[in-house]
Amino acid sequence: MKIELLVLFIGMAVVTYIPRVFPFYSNNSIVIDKRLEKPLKLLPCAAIGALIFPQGLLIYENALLVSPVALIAGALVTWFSENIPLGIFSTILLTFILL
Amino acid sequence: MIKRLKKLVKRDSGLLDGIVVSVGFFPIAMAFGVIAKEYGFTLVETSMCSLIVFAGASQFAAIGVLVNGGSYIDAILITFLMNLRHFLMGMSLMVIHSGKLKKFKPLLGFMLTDESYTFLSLTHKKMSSLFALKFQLMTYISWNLGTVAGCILGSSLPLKASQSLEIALYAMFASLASLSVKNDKNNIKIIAIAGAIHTILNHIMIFSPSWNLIMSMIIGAMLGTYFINPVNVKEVVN
Repeated sequence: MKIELLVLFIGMAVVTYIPRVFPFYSNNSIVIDKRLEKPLKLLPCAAIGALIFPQGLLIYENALLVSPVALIAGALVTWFSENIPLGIFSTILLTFILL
Repeated sequence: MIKRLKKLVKRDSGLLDGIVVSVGFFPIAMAFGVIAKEYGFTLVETSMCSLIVFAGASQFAAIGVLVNGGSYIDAILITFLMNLRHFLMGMSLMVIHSGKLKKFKPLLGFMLTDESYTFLSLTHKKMSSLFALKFQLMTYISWNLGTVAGCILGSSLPLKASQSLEIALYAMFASLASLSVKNDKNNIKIIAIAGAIHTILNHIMIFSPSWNLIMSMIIGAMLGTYFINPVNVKEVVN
């Protein structure tokens, strides 16, 4: 293995690791202003929205309808079954059929 | 052996949930293996990248930078910018259940990804350091096995199968979205706002993609505070 590549990877690892691990060691007492607590609690939903739209709908450039249809179907399965694995598998299966 | 494995998985939801989510990591990691090999990385070098960096999209971006003649510093910088969002996600995870994540902190931080964050932040009842660790470990294993597979096999997974698996990660986001909306109808507003902002930002392309994502998340969550009282934020995944 080339040493300079190892240096590159270690560099990438360090700049990835520090922002990821820092929050785990920030004491709750210092952490945050009460005003930031609310948005941080709502962040998961905002993250999901931004992660799905628009990329999730545009995965298959040659069959644009497939991913919206499969994702909506999977979301419905999860809605009624409250079972995330089942929702994911339904989506994959439907995608496989539709593609 | 398989029976024992089945029993273990059944008893252990951290492993089961992790395995299901990791299904989506595999084909993407394979693609990374293929691209890295094409760029000229050896199997050891490619695996090393996945093993010590473990950062999905930014691994692709780093190779993209190198392919286009960028320096190592450029590659590291783009990695940093792309993964800055995990700082925000980690903070959010701590606010949501810090008391429950006291052990394995160095590892939980190392394996924090968009996928494990969204899943873990919306899971309440089962949450513990061990649950989170098992869940994340499955994603880590899948990512690394996928990388090796891509490197060795090339893109020999049938195209249609690997294409169908690509939707798995988005399927998880969609499932989580579905449950969170079922729990609190107001959540759909946050999801829609963040999604709309991200779509617009992506379209106008003034900022880099990683900033687009970070800004959409922040603005979505900020606006959300006007119509949701987080005291009522309930558990989504049991």
